[in-house]
Amino acid sequence: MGPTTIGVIGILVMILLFLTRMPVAYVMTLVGFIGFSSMVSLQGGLNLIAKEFYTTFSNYDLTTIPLFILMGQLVFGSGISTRLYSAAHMWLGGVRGGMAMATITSCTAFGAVCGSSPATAATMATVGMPEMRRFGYRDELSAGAVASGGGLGMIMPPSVVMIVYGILTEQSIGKLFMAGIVPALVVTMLFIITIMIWCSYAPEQGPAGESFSWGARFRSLLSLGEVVFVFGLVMGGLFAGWFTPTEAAGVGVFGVLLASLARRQLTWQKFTDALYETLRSSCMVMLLVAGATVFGKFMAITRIPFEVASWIGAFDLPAVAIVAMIILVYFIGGCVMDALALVMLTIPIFYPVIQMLGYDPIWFGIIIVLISQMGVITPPVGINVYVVYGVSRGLPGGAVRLESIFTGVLPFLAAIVVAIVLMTIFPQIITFLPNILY
Amino acid sequence: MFSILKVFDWLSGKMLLLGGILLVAMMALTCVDVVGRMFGYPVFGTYELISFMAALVVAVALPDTHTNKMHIGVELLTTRFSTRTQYIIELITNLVALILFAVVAWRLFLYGYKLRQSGEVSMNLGLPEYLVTLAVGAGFLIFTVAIVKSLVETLNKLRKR
Repeated sequence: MGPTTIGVIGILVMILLFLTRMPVAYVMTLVGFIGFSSMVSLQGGLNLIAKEFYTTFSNYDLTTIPLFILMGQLVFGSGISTRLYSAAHMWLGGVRGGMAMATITSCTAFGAVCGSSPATAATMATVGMPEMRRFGYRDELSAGAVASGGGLGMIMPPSVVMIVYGILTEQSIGKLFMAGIVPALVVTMLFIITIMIWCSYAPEQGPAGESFSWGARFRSLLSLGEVVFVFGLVMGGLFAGWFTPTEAAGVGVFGVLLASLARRQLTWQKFTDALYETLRSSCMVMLLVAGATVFGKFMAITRIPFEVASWIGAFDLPAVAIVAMIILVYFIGGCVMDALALVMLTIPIFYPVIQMLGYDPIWFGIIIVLISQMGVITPPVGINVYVVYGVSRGLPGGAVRLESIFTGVLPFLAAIVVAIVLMTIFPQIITFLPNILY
Repeated sequence: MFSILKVFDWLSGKMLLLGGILLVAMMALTCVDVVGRMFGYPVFGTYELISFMAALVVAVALPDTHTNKMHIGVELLTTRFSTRTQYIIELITNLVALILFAVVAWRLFLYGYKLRQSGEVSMNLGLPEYLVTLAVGAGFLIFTVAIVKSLVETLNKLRKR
């Protein structure tokens, strides 16, 4: 058997094993290990897994992941997320669908201090859904907005997918962070427009709520102080060169801690909860990265990535068509797989293609993040949808029907597609900010 | 068997506590280093210490993350099967995972042993890196106990039916 054949068998076995609900991280390690051993030697495979696991766990650049997750957990634990939501509510609550818009805006703001999209969805579901229910919002709009808005947590830097992408492709993480800001704002605007259009067709989905005075509105902005402070500290310090992206996470955690202690809003219980939740999420992500690394070593010796790249290159299609094909593959893959796992699995295959076509790696990184955020809300495996469903079971009024959430995310899905098309036609939306700053 | 599992629960709780302390230490060290550097006094060896602590943070969380079923899986097909079939599939996949991570633990101990024999120490502080490797190996060893625990639980569920 040639190396490519073994590689294809490996991929097929992996897909089969995924269907048993064995954790994705375990499957990638297993298939990578067996595949590598069968091609090199058992001894080689055995040495590989120990070394890859240890070097991944002790990789300095990846140390940001637990710290950025902790930052988001602390923001939630100290009630900053609740204040974010009430401020957005005061500004937008008066118009039709306004509270859903407030949810979207809070997701973006929360994303500025959190690097994970399920965490954002869970937080805003806890904070925003009871309020929207109180004002008679239908589940489709409220749950759809929360689940899709969660994706903004990933698009808005800091972002775990960007860190992983940056490490895998040796791109500057700081540059990726800068590049993510404008697209996140564009998607936020598109989501708000989506809600406006939706509510004009179906006003019963999001009735207008109470209006607040301008005085109250401006006063509510004061409560955003911590978020502005922490985001400014992290991004500003990065830009000013006070610290590296890796150190930014540690400084950010300290900033949140400082802000929440100053407001005396973080109890010891919530602090330890945040720590434990962070440990579990980080362990999950890191095992996924380690598994993908082992699998990636196997893929590299099968030469499949190069074969795919040259196969696509031989098509002689215009570059845009190839990019569209890649996006389609991600979209389908995102339906059945977790976003981060999919990115790590496919980067070794698609990144050479993108490079060959002469696209900006930073641009592609942000597009990947956007596509992966479609993946978190598409059926049947949209993690955010399940997170929102899970959270809603504990809320007053009971669980939302899963079908309602999946229906509710459809308009937002369309909005992300518009965003991707827009940013493919005008890549400057992504690249202009990092190009000015770096 | 029962008491072993109790010891495991206690241990996995304590490991999580250690992880929490390490997380705070990572944050504190980073900040001290960043501020110190502004005034011309960076903390020597921060890079290594942070990397070591991060490795330990992941290692200590391994058992608890498995027990809490935090790892992402594809729930496309299995939810359509009967509960009994689901348990049997779970039994098999857990068995495979047990063997896999027992091998990882074994190889990590071996890798640590090799590092020790070669007398390799960390670049700046001269810390014996093999200790961290062994600790990560120990994390994987206790992780396999977590898998055994879920195996026993699935078996019990199957027997009750």
